[in-house]
Amino acid sequence: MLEELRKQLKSRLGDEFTPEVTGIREGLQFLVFRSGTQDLLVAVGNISEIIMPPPITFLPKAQSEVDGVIALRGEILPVVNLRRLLGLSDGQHTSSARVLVVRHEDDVFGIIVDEIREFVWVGDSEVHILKQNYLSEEFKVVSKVVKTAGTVRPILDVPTVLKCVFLKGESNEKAMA
Amino acid sequence: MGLDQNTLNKQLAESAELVERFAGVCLNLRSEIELSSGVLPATMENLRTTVRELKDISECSDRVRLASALSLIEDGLAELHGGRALTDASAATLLAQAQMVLEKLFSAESSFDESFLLTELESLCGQFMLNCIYSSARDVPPAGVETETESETETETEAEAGAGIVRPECLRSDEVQLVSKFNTRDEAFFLYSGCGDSSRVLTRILPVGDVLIYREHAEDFLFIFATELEQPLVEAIVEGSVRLLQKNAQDVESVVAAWVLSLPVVQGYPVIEPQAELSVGAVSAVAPAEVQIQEVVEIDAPVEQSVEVHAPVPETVDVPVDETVVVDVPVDEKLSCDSSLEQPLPATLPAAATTEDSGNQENVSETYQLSETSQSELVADFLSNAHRLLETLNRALLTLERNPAETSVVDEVFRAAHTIKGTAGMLGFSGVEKLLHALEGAFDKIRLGQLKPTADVVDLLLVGSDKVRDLFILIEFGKTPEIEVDDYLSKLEDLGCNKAPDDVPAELNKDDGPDNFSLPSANRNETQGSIRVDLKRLESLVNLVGELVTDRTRFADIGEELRKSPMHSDLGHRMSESVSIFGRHMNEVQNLIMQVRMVPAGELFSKFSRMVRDLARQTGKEVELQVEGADVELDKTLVEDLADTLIHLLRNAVDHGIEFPEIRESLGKPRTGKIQLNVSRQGNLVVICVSDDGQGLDTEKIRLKAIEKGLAGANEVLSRSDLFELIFRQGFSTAEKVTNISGRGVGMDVVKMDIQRLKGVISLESQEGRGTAVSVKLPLTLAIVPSLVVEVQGEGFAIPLINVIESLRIDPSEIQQMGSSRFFKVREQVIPVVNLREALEIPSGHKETGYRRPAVSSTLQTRSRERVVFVVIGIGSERFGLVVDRLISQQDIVIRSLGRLLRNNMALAGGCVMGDGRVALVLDVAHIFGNENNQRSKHARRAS
Repeated sequence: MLEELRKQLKSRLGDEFTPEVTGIREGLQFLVFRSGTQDLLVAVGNISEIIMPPPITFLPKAQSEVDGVIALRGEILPVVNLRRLLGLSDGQHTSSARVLVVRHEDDVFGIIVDEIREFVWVGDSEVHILKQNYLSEEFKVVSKVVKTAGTVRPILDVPTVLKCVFLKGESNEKAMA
Repeated sequence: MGLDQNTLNKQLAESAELVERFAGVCLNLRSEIELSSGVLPATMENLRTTVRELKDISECSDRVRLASALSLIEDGLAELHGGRALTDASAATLLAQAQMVLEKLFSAESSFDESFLLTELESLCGQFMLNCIYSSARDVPPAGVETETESETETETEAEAGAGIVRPECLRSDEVQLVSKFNTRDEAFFLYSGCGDSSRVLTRILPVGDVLIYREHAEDFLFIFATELEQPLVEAIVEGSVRLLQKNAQDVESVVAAWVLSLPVVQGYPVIEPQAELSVGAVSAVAPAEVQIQEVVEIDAPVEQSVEVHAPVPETVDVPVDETVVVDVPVDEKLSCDSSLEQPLPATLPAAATTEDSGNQENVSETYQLSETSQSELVADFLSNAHRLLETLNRALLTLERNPAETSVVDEVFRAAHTIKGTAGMLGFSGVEKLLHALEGAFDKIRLGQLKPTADVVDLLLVGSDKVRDLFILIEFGKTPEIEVDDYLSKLEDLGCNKAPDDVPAELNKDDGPDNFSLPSANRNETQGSIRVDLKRLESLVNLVGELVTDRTRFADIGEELRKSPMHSDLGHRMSESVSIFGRHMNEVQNLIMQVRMVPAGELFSKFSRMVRDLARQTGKEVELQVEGADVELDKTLVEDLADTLIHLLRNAVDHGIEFPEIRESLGKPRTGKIQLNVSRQGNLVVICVSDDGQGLDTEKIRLKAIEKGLAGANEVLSRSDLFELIFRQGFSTAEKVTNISGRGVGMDVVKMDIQRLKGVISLESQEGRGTAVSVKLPLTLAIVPSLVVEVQGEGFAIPLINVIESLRIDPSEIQQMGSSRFFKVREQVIPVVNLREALEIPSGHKETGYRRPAVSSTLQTRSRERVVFVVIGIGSERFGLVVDRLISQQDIVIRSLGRLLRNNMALAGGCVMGDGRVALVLDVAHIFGNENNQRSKHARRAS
C-alpha cells in the first residue's frame, strides 16, 4: 500500500524527476529522452537541470544548430536544436518538449529535446563503444551505444556536441587566418 | 558601595558552597542509581533544595545566566522527581554533565562569555524532557504523559491510572485528555514532523510551547505541540515548516495516523498496537490517498530542512549581521539555536544513551575549537569589519588634527579597534593585535590630553593605520600577516614617552591577554540599521527575481486561457487580477534591490581627505578639501571604478592647480587653497565636479605645447574649448617639472579613457588665475544602461541610448544606392545606411520553423512596411543610419555577457533579460558599422 502511495506521489509531482537512489549500483545513470523519433541517452552527470522551454531569442550569425538564446536566472545560454544537429526532421515542438541544461566544465548550454522518457541505470557491460565510421555524419555526436533487452540506443556525448556546435567556427576561423 | 560589595562577596562564597554541595549530591544520586537502581527520596529532595537555593542566590546577585541555567536543571529534576523521566543510568549521566557544565559556568562566569555553556545545559535539559516523553510513549511504568507545566500531584495520579493500559486508539487516553484540556485555551496546535535529531527540535519547542504528542520511529519523528505563538514565528524557531492543526482530538488523531502510515515500514512500530492500525484504517478510509500523499510531502520537506540546518553556522560571539536579521527571537534563544547546531547531539533513546555518554563529554571540549568553515567565515567577517575600522581610524585622525578638542571621535575608534583586536587575537593574527593595541594606547593618551595631536603625531599614527591596512591585505590574500612592526611600535612608544613618560609602559604593554574578549555588546550599536551584504548574493537575488518575472508571464498566459474559456471566465478574470498585482509587487521588489546596490558617495570620499592632506604636506602647500553631496547615492561598482579617476583629478588640483602659500598671498588670495568636490544627481546622471581656486590653465602655454608636439599648426586659431580638449590627448603635459605626484604625461588621457569606459563624458573649464574645474557626467549605475529597443523580424534588439542620436520614419525609396553601399540624406548630411535585418542576416519568416514561438507582433509588422524606421547612430563624431522594422520602447536594461560559447559573435555587445523573461540582444553598433563597410561578402557565406 505504501509503495502504491509513493507511485501516486511521483506521478503527481510530474516533471520533477528526482531519481531515487536505491543503494549502490554498478554502472552509470542515464536520462532517456526522445528527439524526433529517436531515443537517446545522456549521462545524468552532464545535466544540471531540466526546464520547460522558455521563449527563445534568435541569435544572428549563429551556427545553424543553435536555435537561439534563453535566459536562465539571469544567465544567457545558447540552445542547441538536437533535431537539426542529428539531421532529423524539423518541426513544431509540443508541450512535452524540454530543455536539458547541460554543463561541461565551465560551459553551460541548453539542448532542446522532444520528450523526457525515463532514468535508467546502465551497467558497464551494456555500453559498447562504436567505431566512428559506422555512423552517419550527423551522428558524430554519438560515440557509444547502450544495448539492453534487444534495443540499441545511442548515448549523446556532451563534450562532442560542444565541440561540433560551438568550437567548430573557431577552427574554421583559424584556418582562414 | 562597600556594603554592596560585602553582600556580593558573601553571596559568592555561599553559592560556591552550594555548587560544591550540588556536586556531592549528584555523586550520591549516581551511586544510588548504580547500586540499587532506585533513588532515595531524601537524596532527590536534597538535590532539589540545593538547586533552588543556588538559583535564588544567583537571582539576587543578578547573575542571570547562572540563574537561568539553574532553572533549567530544576526543570529537569522536576521531571525526574515527578517520575515522568526514568531515573536510570542515562539520567544520572545527564545530571553529572549538567553539574559539570554548571561548575564551569560558575567559575567562568564573570570573565568569560558563557553563552555556549548555557546552550549546552539547555540541550542537556532537552534530553531530560525527551527521556521523559519517550518513557511515557513506551508506557513504561511509572509513565505519566504531562509536560512540565502540569503540577506534580496530578501527574502522579494520572500516571498510575494510565500505567500498563493498552489502548486500541492511535492516541492514548492521556494524550486525548491533554488535547482536550487545551481546547479551551488560547494556544494553537502545530505539527512538526521530520527526521534526524529530534532532541534538537525539542529543545526549541520546549521554551515556547507544550508538547502534546511525540512519536518516534527509526529516524523519523513527529511532534504535536501547543503554543501561543503565530505560525511564522514558530517556524522560525524550530527552523522548519510546521502545520497548524484543528484543535480537536479527531483531527490530531488522523494526523498521527497519517504519519504512521507514511513511515517506510509499518510493522514493528513501537507505539501503535495491531488494533490501532485497524482503527486508523477506519478513520482514514474515508479520504484515502489525498491525506496520505500530503503527509508524505510534508515529511519530505523537513528532511531538506535538516540538511540546511547542519550547515556550518558562524560562531555566535560577534556576528552582528545575524543579530539584525533575527529580530524577533530573544538573544538567548538565538544563541541556543545556533550553538546547539555546532555540537550535534547524540540520539537520546535510553537504549543508546549509555554508549554515547563518553561521546557527549567529548563534545564539551569540541566547542572550543572552530571548524574550518566557520574559521574562514570568521576571517571574511573580520576583514569586512577591518576595512570599516580603517575608514573610521583615518577619519578620526583627520578630525583630530583639525580640532584637537573633538575627542568624541576617539571613542568611535576605540569601539572599532576593540572588535578587530579581539577577533585578530582569536584568529591568531598577532601582528594586527599588537599594532592595534599600540594605536589604541596612543589614542587613549590623546583622549586624556596627554598627547597633542600635532601634524607629526597624526603623521605617525596614519603610518600605523597604513601598516594595519597592509596586514589586512595580506590576510585577504590568504598570506600570513607578517610585517615588521616592532620598529614602528618602538617609534610609537617613543612618541608616547616624550609626552607622557610615566604612563607608557602600562599603556603599550604589547601582549595583553584575554581582556579583549567581552566585546559583543559594545559594538553592536554600530551596525544598527544596516547590514553588509555580499554583492554576489545580491546579484543572485536580482537574478531570482528576474526568474519570477518569467513565471509571472506563465501565470498570465494561464489566466488568459481561463478567461477565454466560457466555463472559467470568472476565474480567469480573478487570476489575471492577482497576476497583475503580483507583477506590481515584483516591480517594487526589483526597484528595491536596485536601490540596495546604491551606496552613498561619501564612502568614496572618506579616503580623499586623507590623500589631499598628505599631498599638501608633501608639496608644502596649504589645501582644504570641501566635499559636497556625500549623501548622493551611486552604484557600488561605479564607486569602485571611479576612485582612481577622482584621485587623479585631486592630485592634479593640488599639484598643478593650487599655488604655494606665499604666491597665493602675494596674489591677494587666502593662504589656504580650496579644492571643492561636488557630487550631484541630474536625472539619470551623476555629475561630479572637482574645482580648485588655483592658478588655472595657461592657454598660451597649451597652444605652444600643442604646436611643439605637432598637434596644431603654428598659425591655427584654436578656441578655448579646443585647447582644453588637447589636454586629454595622450602624452600632453605642460608641467615643466615632473614631480612624483603628477606630471608624467600620462594623465588626463587616462582619465578620459576611464570615464568613457564608464559610459560617461568629461569636460574641463579653466580661467587663468582663478582656477580650474573638471566635471564628469556618468550614468547612475554601470549595470543599467538606458537603451532603445527596436524590433527586426519580431526579435527585439537593444541599442545603448548613448549611441542613439535620433530616429526618423522614412520612405525606403529615398535611400540611395551606390554600389553595395547605401546612403540617406538627413538635413544636408549624407549618412551611410545599414539595414539591420541584412546586417544580422535574419532570415525573413524565420519564426515559422523550429521550436520558436510565433512572434506576437508579426501582424503589426506588415502594416508599416512602406515606411521604415531609421535610427541615426553616433559613434564619436561619426554618424550612421540603421534601418529597423519598428521602435518598441526606451528601456533601462541590464547588460549580461553572452558567455564563453558565444564570444565569437562580434555584432553583439551582450544580451539582456526583458520584462517578459525573453532575451533581447544588445547591439555593438561600432562593430556593425565597422564590418558593414567592406565585409558584406563574408557575411553572405552563412546564408541558410
